[in-house]
Amino acid sequence: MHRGAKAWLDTSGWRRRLKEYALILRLLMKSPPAAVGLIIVLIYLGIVIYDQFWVPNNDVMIANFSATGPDPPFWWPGGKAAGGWMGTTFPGIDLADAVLKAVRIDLIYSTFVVLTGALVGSLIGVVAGFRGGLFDEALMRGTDVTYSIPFLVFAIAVAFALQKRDFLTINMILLILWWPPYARLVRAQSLSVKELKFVEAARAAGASDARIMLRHVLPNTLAPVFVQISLDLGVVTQIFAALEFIGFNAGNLFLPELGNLINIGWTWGFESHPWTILMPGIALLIFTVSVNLLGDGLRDVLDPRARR
Amino acid sequence: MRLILYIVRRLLILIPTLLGVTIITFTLSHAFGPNLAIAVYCTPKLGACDINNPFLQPIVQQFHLRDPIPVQYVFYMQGLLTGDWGFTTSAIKGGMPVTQAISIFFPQTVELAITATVFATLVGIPTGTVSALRKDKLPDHATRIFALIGYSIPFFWLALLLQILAISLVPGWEITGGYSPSSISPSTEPWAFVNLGGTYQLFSQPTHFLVLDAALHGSWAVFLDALKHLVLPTATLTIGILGVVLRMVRSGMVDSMNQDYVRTAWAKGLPDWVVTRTHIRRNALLPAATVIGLLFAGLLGGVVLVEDVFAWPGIGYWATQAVLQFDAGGVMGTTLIFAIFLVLINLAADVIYAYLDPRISL
Repeated sequence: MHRGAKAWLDTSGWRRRLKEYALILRLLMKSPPAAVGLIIVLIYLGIVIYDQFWVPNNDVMIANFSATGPDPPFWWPGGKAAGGWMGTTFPGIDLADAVLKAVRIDLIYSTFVVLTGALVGSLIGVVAGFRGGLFDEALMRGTDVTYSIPFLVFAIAVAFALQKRDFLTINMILLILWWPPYARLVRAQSLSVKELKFVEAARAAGASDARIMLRHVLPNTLAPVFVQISLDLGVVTQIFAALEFIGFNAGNLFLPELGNLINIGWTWGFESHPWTILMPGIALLIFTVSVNLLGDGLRDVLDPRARR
Repeated sequence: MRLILYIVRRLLILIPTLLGVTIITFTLSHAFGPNLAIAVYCTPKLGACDINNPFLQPIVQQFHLRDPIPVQYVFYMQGLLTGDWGFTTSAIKGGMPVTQAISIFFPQTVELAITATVFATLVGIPTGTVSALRKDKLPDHATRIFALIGYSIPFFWLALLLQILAISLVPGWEITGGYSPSSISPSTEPWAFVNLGGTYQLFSQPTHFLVLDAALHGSWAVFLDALKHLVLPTATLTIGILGVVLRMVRSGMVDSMNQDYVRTAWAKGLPDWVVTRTHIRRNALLPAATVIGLLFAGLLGGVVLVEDVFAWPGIGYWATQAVLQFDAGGVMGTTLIFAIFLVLINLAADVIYAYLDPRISL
């Protein structure tokens, strides 16, 4: 086996790291807001897993065109049992069912986008920070430019140029646009980490550049990346919902997606049926609030200087 | 003098950034085939936006759309610099040049952005100060929860929520469906409209901000009505960005409260308000100044959605209409103007920061 590959498979370093993560988790649970955030995120994760394995037709909303109109939830003033616990929206879609399915789709795709963006961005960032030079300069100027276009507007323009407005295209666009912040973050971190003594020691021991980058520099730049991942989950979920809301769902009108559900309520007169936009919106808000709580908590634990 | 040199240096950095932005909009409009490129420029009168349409040959020749991509970019830039940004079909019925549409829609967006930023700053700085001074007490917890919800809430949903609240709480409030005050018409208020080939578009003179112009012309009914239309969009954006301002001010204040010079100030017996104002808050406001620049980035994305919900005739509303109606000129024009606006705002924030903190421009 190649020497580098063998070193990569050596698990003792990662086991030590796992212990560190357990410590982080313990510290996190000591702060009540962060603990609440973590628990709610885990509940959402549970919903995703439940939807994925035990709910049939989990990628389409079940419409009932013979329904008379949207029914309020049973606890709403004037509500009926027919409305279920979240009410129904147009055309005869049960919101409890649709919102749960929507949570799965929103979370799976936003997690996919954020994690891929973090992975690609971290790798590019560590190379840029470690090697420096022309590549670094080009990367920084490139990210400067992508930063100077408001994200939502950029996504709209790309979707337009591709002449496609379906959900998968939105995913592709977000994937392409989401790595630059991570590249900048990891680059800035690795600029300082690469000057530390243990990097010098590794180099003196004859480690290759790739090994130093992956085993020594990258792991020590990851703390802010985790914070950013957790904060970004809320942002990407919101952007998905926003793009669906302004009408990017041309491909599939019955796609269970929180923004799509809010759009349905908005289009069909939410002022007389407020629950049609309240329910999906609250599901979205609780998720974004809890990932923000979790992200702030993580930042406090991982960066003691920022602890207040 | 140092500040002027700094501004000049920043302006020079601006050039490659803006060039990069034009490369992006150029790539998006020209790299996916000549028919999309020609759709940016063609007008509906000339027939189908196809490169083989004989009526469009002058455009094909002017922008060299059959030539290699780098050549096309040169003529694209020439078009941008000479004020030919293409033709939008979604802005109004019959369409108009992109530059003209920008001049009509841009003031509305600026009006929203300015009012929201001003309100967020006016509310955010005192509230953030109180929150930091009463750290871990009830006012602090309340402010932090509000800030958390403010930056977590999706703009478009908040806009709908505020509408529901206004309808149920304010008697007589109704969804008017857009920025067309009922008290105003082209015959009685000619100063508020521009005639675009038979269609009257709201475009008030001389400041282009309807609220101000109504006051200048003394039409108080229009003034009140315009103000009423401004309330909910401004409230939405203000709540959305207030969270960020509150956090920045609070954390900046808490930071500087732990500094030695603050302890010295307390120790020598200065009154509370002097320490708070001149020692703590002065320094805490530095990061807040840059954040107001960053805020605009978030705000401009939010503006798109808020304008869409309230049918507010600004750049954001136009951008969504352009996408939904497959209007290439509109999409490229709005992307470019948003980017330029954002770049300039960031420049202004950096300059303000350099002015406030002399260490920066060294």
